[in-house]
Amino acid sequence: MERRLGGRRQAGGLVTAFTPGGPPPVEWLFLGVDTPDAVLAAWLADALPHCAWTSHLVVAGGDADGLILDTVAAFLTDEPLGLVHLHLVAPAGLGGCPAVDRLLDAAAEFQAEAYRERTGSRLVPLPILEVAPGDDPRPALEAAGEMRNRLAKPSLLLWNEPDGRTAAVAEALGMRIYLGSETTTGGAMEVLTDAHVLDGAMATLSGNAALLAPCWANNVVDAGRLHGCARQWRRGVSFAHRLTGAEPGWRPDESLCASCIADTIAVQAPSLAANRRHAEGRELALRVGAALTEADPGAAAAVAATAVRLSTSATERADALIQTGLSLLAAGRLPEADRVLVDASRAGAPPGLVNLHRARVQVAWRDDIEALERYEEALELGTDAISTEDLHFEMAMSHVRLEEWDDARSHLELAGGPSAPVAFNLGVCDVNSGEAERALTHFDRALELGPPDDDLGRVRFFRGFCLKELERFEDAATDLSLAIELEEPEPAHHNLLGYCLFKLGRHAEAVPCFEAAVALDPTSAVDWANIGVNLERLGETERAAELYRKALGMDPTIAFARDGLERLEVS
Amino acid sequence: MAVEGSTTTVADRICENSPVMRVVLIDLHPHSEPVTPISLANLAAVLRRDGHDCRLLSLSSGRPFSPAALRGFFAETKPLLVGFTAYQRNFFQVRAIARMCKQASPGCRAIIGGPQASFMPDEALDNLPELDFVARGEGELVIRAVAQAVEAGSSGEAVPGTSTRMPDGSWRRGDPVVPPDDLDEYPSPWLDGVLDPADWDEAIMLTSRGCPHHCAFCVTPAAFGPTIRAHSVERAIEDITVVARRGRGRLWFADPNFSYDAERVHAILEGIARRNLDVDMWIETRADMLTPELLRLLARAGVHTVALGLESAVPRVLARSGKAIEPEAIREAAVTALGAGLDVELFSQYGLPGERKSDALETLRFVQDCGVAVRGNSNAQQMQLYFGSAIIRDPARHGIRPLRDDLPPYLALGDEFETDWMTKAEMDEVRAAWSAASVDGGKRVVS
Repeated sequence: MERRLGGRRQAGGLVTAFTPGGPPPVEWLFLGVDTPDAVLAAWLADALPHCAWTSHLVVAGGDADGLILDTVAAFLTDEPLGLVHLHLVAPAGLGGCPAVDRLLDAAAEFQAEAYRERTGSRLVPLPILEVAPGDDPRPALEAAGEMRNRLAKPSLLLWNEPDGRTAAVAEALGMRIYLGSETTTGGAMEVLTDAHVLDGAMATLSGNAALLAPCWANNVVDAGRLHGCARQWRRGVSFAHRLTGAEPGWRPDESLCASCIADTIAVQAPSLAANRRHAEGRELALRVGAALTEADPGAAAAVAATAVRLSTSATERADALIQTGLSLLAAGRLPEADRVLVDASRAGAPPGLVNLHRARVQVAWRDDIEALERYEEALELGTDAISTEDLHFEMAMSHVRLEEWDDARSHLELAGGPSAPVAFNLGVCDVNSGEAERALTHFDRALELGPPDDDLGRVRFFRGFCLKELERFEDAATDLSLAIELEEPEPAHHNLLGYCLFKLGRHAEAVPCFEAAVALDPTSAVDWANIGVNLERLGETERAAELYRKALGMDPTIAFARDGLERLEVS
Repeated sequence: MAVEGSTTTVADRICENSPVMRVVLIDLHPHSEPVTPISLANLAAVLRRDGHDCRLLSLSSGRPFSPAALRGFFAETKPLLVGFTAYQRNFFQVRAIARMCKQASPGCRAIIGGPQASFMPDEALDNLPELDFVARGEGELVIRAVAQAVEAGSSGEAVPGTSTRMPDGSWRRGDPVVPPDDLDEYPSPWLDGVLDPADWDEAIMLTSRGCPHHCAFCVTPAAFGPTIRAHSVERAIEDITVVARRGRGRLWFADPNFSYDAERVHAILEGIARRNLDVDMWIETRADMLTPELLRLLARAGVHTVALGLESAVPRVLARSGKAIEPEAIREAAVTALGAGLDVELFSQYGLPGERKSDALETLRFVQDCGVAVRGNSNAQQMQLYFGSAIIRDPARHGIRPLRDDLPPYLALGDEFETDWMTKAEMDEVRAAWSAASVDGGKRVVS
């Protein structure tokens, strides 16, 4: 089934896809009331016509007196358009399942109608046989066989992980296993709502819905309160504090959907394993992990770790560990990332790939020396995850950060055909090696090749720096002005521009540059002195002397400030 | 062109200003995702040109709605006429919605059309108190005649092209309607804005109707006539153009024999190329209506899949079913199409007259040998017997043994039968074999 927000009026044509104008109808209604009473039954009778024509009613708290069942049967009798999948949690033991017997009796009437009319039954009995912690599941499995003969589709709710035989029998009978644990604080309702969220996410693997879209519209009723979705229920948020008069209506907080799905996958991992759905679960976990890496890398790492748990072969485990490591890297959890990547290596992940990612962890750690060792190993061992050219580029960047210009240059020369980043970094290497003329040709080449907009300011800054080194101050000032416009300026931008303007004798223009520099970094003694020297040239000697003193107070070694102050004091 | 049996034509009527009457047409797929409601949209286009206020509802399992919301819609819109396309598999829900609509809008009349309605036996109608009209002829002609009759109020006369409920509750058949040879007399739901291509992932197109062949299991010749009638090339290209440019360019041609006229199909494909339309098309045709040259042209024009009616790989079975084609011709067409880069679907079924279990399994092998993947429409299904087919008119003569005699008279036998050559258990075995060979779980798109 496709997950969607609900009906809409088609945009341009005459076709109306229901529901026009209204909220999407609730498709799943979870009832978690331990003892259904007349108030709940009356509310349900009013609510069912407002639910989707094909709806699911999950009775998680039981229906010992058959009140819910009677209400559903009455609804279906009055409303031939309705179809209810009734998921009824019932204790399964040696004494049989009277609640399920009642359900099957009621369903028989609708099965007869379906046979007569050659259509599907409008009451689909889906008993969920609950086996108490420590109890023997065999009576439930035996009862399930009988129920299947009566066209029911039973499933199991277990509180202990099933043994191999139980799992095998359940699988042979086509029974789903819902699995709770000691950490399940919300009882059957928690297990079943988690399963709902998981099923919705699973459906996206084969459908068109977005991976992290809201699940099928659902409401939860618990202790007389109505909650907008399973997640809202878990958070204790309700939109109706009394059932009287309240209609079901889906009110999810969609900002929670992604984390809800991620959390649920992690919680449901044992259930997926019990149902032998490792492969689907693993695929979902990997996809969700990848989708969340940017927005919520911590959650992505947790989901990817679930993929590790659901892996059934060394190769799968290694792949999942790699993704977990990358998510941890994105989350900035670097020691864990490195540890997981080492685990991936032990699980058989390609060593070249592992070393590449471990190098990236080291880069994030700002340990470029260690990173380069990993990169070297990745280069030697080879990996399909990155081209050799790109690997050389990453290595060059580490050398740049280490200010190892010759090494950086040699890797850049192996980093593939002409590209703006390569040309730019060659320029950086050259200008830092005192080769300003050659650097300028690289910066010009980078501009020709069209760097990304975000990098344009950086290129202009370095080109300006280069021109300053070549004492082409007019051109340098032009590039540095552009750099200030294009990227978030640092004190160095203003300092360099001010310096060029000083050299050009444009002291009045130089002053605001240095003022901008000290505004960004008030501890920059040299820039205070730079203001002073320009003011001195402009004849503002008192103010200049004041600034020389200020600069020397911060850094007495600035010779030109000391000279300037002496000059002014003599005069 | 005048329509025999009535006093008006579609062409002259559409220019009149009729009083506005609210009509709701409902396309209902309770067990599947929504599809373009092309047939009802054709009727809506006629009603719209007649000046009626026509709403077209697309209801399906993939589009949740609540009974309360639907009831509220009827109470708000108060239609005077509600119409449905009826199939065997949606008939229960059609009746339920008809009753709901009449409760919410007293005085509303209900009509069903489509294959289930056209050939439903008269004796069934007494069991359908919620219905007032059953369409027996071509929908465009019937719907406007019924709309006129509802507008005018009860006259005690049966409406042409229908079975009509009389004021005393009895049913009477109206005069037959004779459809036009030229389908361009009908307005286009795409060009008239009844359907907006932007709303549909895949647009269903219907540019021709009818079939000259006489397959005993098929309803098409009875429903649309034994000759193929078509829209002009120009009209087909106009429709395709608006769908390609406003929509996603995915076209699904429901024409039973898309390439029945080589000259016409060449002209359509050339029109697509001339207008530089970016289209992705699915077509259905017969193997003996394909040539290698045409297949190459289809591929170049943007056809991604060619569906062919195989039914059975056993000539004896085909002959007994009235399907005059050699399986080897189908194999050759399939292989050639695959070689041209097209995907191929082979429609097949089991439980045909004269077919043994071994024959049915031979068909499965044939499909696989052709290199056609068993998926989508290439998943076989048991022959479905609906009103209107030659077999359902005389099951015994075709070796059909019904398994039920308690079906309501408004329902056809469907797959509730075995044959002189195959038991139900054997058919289940054949189904299991196909299911095991399927690469997609046996999910068929077209029933």
